[in-house]
Amino acid sequence: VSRAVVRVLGIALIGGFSLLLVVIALAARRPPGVSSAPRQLVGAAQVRLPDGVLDGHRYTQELGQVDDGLSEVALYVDAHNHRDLAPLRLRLTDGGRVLRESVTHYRTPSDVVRFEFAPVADSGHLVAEVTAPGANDQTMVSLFVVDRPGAGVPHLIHDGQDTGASAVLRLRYRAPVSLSTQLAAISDRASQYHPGPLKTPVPLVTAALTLVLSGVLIAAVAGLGPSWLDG
Amino acid sequence: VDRPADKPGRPRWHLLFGLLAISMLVKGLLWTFAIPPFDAPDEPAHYSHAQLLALRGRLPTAGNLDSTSPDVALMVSAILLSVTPGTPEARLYQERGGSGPVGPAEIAAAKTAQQPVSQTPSGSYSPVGYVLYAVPIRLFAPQGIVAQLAGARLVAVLLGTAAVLAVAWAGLEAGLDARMATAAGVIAGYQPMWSQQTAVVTADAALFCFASLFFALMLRTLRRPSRRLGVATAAVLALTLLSKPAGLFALPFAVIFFIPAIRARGRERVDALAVGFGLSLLAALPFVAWNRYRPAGVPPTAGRGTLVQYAYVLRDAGFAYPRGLIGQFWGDFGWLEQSLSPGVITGLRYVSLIAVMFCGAALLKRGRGRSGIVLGMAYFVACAAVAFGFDLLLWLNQGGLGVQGRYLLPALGGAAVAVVAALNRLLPRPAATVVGSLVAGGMVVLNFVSLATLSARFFVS
Repeated sequence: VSRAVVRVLGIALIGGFSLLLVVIALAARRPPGVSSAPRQLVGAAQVRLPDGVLDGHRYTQELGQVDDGLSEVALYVDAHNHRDLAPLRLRLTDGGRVLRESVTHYRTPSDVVRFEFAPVADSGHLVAEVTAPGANDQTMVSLFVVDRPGAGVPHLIHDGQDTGASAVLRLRYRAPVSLSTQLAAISDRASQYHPGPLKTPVPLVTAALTLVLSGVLIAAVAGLGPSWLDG
Repeated sequence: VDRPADKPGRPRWHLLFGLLAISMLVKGLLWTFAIPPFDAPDEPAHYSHAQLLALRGRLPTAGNLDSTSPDVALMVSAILLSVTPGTPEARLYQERGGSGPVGPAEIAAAKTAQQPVSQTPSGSYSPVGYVLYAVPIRLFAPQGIVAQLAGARLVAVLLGTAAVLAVAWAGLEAGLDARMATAAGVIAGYQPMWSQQTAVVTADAALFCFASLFFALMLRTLRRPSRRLGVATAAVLALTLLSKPAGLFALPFAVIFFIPAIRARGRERVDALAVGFGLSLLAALPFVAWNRYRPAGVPPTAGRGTLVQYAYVLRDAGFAYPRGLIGQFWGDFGWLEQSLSPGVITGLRYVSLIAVMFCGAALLKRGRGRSGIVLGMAYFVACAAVAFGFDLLLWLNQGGLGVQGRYLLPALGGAAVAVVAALNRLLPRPAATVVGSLVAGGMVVLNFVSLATLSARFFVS
């Protein structure tokens, strides 16, 4: 392999590396938003529903009117250490009309199940419906709920019967935000719970330094580093 | 020492290693920003262990139970209670297969009778790693828990940096030039899960550090054995075992202390054998003594022997399937596992497979310079065997599986050296350098993808 070929390969490496960083930066412009846990549930104790989500059964809970751009609903389950789990299906309905449907197939047992779908704009009165087609005792999961939630919190309905509990549904939204706003928010939020000297803009400066140093390091390994590194 | 890297026209190893160290320090600091306080696996318990040592001068009072101090529980609940729409979802990491959902449950637990935030076996670990965290906690005691935690996390970053330098040194000892040795260090240091575990308060950081150093010392011993080096190697092996029981995988490598006996003859062989036994005892006795004669106040778990208890250390950490173990080596735990697409994980599994095939092919090639590949692979296989052994044990006893990919990380340095040494052996030098830097660059990119995944929680909705 000639020195010129090696040099071209090395430059291609650095170029590819830079391109990936650009892609990551662009991807950060429209990330899924993050919502917090429902305030009204703070302070409540969570329990597992005694019955699992089995084939033929239906759990519903009102979401009401939500912000524009709802793109993900996550809920907590207990997988009972089952090795094979039946898929869970979530339907979002608005006035009886099915707006979105999402099915989650498990890769590994997890206690968080995420349902992703195309963003919902101008929602009316949404209802989330969870079913598990084909689930039996060996492949079912159970829902975690807040028992006897506070006033005004929608209850979980099991086959038309009020369970007296409320499932913790976490909602995510997708909305366009500028890159500079994102960077400022990331820095501010990463600064939380860090002592004074480590607050904004230190996280951003550290991120920039990490990128530069990592690039120089890889270049040096590839033989394209600064001349002072060579003897 | 006349190393190839010291010759004119080639990079100076100490400059490259210096650049590697600075990169690791800065990258480690960035990871500490990306992970909210106590949001890492078992961090409340690990921190509490160190805090007890630092501020009260005593060990945890329970071996396999909660070791979370009241002010940690208070801070966790403060973080959770501060959650408002538009602020980051700063809640504890959800321990898979643990006590279920977190968030409201933790707040309720913190409000009622200071129930434990987490239950881990860290209370029964020796204080070897925790005394290091105790230093900044003691120093920043007047500044409060926020400053104490930040200081303790910096210790983890330093341990991670030292571990990476040990990997790079092992590369030199395996006959690599400075560039390739640095590539091995980059591959280990930028592995996402390694980055996470060396940016938070955890027993893993010390384990990675001492296990990597032990690997480098073994290679050195193979090249230039001496009694002084033997004592140092035995001491580091003892520290590896004491850092975390998962370090037991390194114990069989005490066989390295008997190599001089194999080479010697007659009375010299008897002397060398005696030295080998002495060094083995030096390495193993502190660990055995800690478990047998642990100070009062740290009772073993009822119903199980203390050493057997360590077999269950892995149980509480999570659930995985054996087929996923190697894949999880790349993306296991928390946000990485939940956020990386299955395609990425599958792709990385194939990368692991290709790496193993590369090492196998390099071993088939005749000539000198195979020690790094053989020892690195053996190190990784031993670590994987221990993990799979526990996995099988748990599966047979409980029907559940509790091993995660991160339990292979203590041997990651050995694997990285083996892969890079294989590249070096199979390819001509310029091509090996380019491919080595491509692999290292790929790991850097994976690191940034993981960081972006972690930071996604901070985005504006």
